[in-house]
Amino acid sequence: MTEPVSYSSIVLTEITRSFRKNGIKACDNISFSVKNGEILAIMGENGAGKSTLMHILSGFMKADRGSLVFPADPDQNHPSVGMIHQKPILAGNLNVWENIALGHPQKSLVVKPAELSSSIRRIQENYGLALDLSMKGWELTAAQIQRAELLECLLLDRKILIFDEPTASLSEQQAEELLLLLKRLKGEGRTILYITHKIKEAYHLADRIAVLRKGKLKMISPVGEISPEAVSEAMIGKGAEIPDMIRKAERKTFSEAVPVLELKNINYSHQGSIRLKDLSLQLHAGEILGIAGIRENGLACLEDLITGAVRPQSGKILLKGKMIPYLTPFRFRKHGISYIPADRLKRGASLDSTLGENLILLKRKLEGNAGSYKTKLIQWAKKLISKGEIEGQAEQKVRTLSGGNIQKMILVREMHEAPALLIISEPSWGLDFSSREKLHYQISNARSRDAAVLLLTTDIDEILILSDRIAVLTGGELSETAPAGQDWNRKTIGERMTGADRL
Amino acid sequence: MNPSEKKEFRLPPVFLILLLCIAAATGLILLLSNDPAEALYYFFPGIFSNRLYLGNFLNYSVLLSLTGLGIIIAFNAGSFNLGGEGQVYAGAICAIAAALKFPDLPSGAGIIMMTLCGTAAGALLAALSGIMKSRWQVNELISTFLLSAGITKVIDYLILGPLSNPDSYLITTGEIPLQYRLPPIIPPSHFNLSFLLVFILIPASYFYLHHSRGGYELRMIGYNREFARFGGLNLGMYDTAPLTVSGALHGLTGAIAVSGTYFAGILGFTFGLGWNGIAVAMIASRNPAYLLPAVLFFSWMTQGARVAVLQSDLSLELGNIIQGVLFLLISSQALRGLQKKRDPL
Repeated sequence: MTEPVSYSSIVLTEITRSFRKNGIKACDNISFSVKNGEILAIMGENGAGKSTLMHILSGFMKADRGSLVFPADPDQNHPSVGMIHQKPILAGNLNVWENIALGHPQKSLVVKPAELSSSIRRIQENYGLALDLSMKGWELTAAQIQRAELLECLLLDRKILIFDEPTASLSEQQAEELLLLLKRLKGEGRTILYITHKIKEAYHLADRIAVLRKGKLKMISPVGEISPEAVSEAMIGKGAEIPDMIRKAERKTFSEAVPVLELKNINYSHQGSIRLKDLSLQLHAGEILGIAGIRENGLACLEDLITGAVRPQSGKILLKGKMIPYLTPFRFRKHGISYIPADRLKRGASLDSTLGENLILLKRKLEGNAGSYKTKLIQWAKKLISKGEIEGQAEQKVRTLSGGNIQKMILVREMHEAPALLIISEPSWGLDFSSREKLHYQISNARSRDAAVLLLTTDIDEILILSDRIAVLTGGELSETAPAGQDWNRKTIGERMTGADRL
Repeated sequence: MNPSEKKEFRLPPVFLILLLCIAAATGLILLLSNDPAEALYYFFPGIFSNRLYLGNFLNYSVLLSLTGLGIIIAFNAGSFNLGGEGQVYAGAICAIAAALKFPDLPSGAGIIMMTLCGTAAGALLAALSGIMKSRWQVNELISTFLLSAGITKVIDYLILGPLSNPDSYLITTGEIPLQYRLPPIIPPSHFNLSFLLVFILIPASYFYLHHSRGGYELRMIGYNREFARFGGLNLGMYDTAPLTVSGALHGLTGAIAVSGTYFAGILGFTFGLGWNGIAVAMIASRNPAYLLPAVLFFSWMTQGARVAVLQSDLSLELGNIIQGVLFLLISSQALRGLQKKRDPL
């Protein structure tokens, strides 16, 4: 990089970091500099090394090799870097201001709540970050957690802010507000590093784009000087296209026969607040019904309800026309339903078990007499590992796999037996372009096999790409279901999703 | 080949703990004994010096293996059985009560009856906790402990009152009939044929846990309950059955202790079999394959201390102190394991 050092806020030289666990270089000889007051979008597939690099920048991890210099800061001790994490790192039992106080350097041993909260309030008013400071950490939604972390960074007057996929858990409306705020922060002379998967967002927001692939810096360039196609190619290698609408399989007019899954007038409330209100839906064989919504706004609740994790106060759940009076996950699985949960690491995988043990979950009987249960298990696992294109060994602990590989593992396990009913929740969270495209292909394949698919997602593009019919869940109420393309497009879905969100 | 596949050779940390234990015991002896050489001799190789000590060491190992196995099975299903003491005690008292009630059966039938009664008593006690766990989400850690503490008082009462033997100078029940006693293999110690059970039950448990669908399901619940639940595994059954089996093994231990070693119910005679079962289960890191070495080590340390107390100038407390140190070191190891799981990166 040729620009003079004095105009840079961060200069990285040959940063390298590998992990002892798998010996893979997460960052391999990365050198670039970040200009003062710019927004730099950091892009890359899963496992490209984005998060590791940002952890090194924020002082959360140390590099094995290379130097990291903050020219504007004499102490060189990461003090001016604030990071807004993708995963919440708040203490659940403390309220917001206590959480903020935790990271606040104290002049004296005594915390002065009044002083602290008045300065927090000032920042809240200044930046329009509405948040009830007395709420406990566990009560906060993803968006609110983000706000709390941002508040903390602004209170400490961080000059360099790192955002790790901040819009992933936000509604369109919230995301737009955030992007406006980021522009304002930039206007104040702060430097912003912005990790994202979304090219659109990067072009909308950033001054420059840096692309990482497999731990290496592939390119760094001003937005105006590079085409989206080139960015995409840098991210996923040659031959890739920006996934447009994937070709839709010919839409059948689904039969008027008994629906595979039917909900009738479901009402569910939890701790006095109504989560689902008089909700009814029908899902037929050979169709994908997409339900768009925000997770905190009823979508997560609907997922729990259909899988039997919670019971509605009133209403009926019917499977193939048969009423199930007391649905539990056990009975749900007895009906041969496949389920890809949004919560992959708890519900979808057992991290301290082996890959083979994770893959065998639904397979109650193993064919063949030869060998012990263990050898049969490994044989079975090998078959699924190659089918699912998972990078891993049957006897490897799942904890050592990357997030993308864990999702592939869940997918192949749930899809292998050609289920008649599939419940899929947020399937492409954190997936890169090519995995996402493959996933969409697999889901539409399941439909052509005549499976009934219920897709619950926050991702509007995903809904539009895949669904035959679409409904939107807002504030616990489900809209009318309509075929894609008629009433529903990006704008109408987005507006509907967020309409009730602005309370 | 994936680099993570390469197996590094590293000594399991449990060996460090065991070495520390031996070092601590040696240190204490050097500190507290006037003739450390003699005390050390009796502490370590001393148990192999005569038939009585060797037999008692082996006999204690048999009993400890059974309770340890009980803890391991529940542990693998994510259940913690803290009621071992009471379950052993209940098993023992039921075996005695049955023997005293029907004193005239032939030898084999009598021993089988006692064993079954004892096993059933332990199983019943633990099953209550299991049912409460699966029905009302009552924490089994607390319920097993409280049930055990409660039943202990009831059994104390039985030994002091209705079942007491007025002719004995100990506080004890009447002795079981002669033909119900397991004959010793290495007299004068009480080591007896019940050791065969260890060689049946440990391999059977290992096979079940690691080579069957049932064992797989059980372990998955222990690893990640949510994963198992949404995979459609039957949580209700696996919350109850492993605890019940655990209790059954404890009850069995009580019955065998009566028919092979004590022949009567002496007040509070479980000698920490329940607690020490937890310790050996932890040393064996929940795997039946490692149970036997863990048991032999633990039993060697405790019996060695007893022999040293009998034969040298060491005080009775030293044995307890060494057991305490062992316990402390092992639980610190367990805590470290828990912490590792919380590692965010």
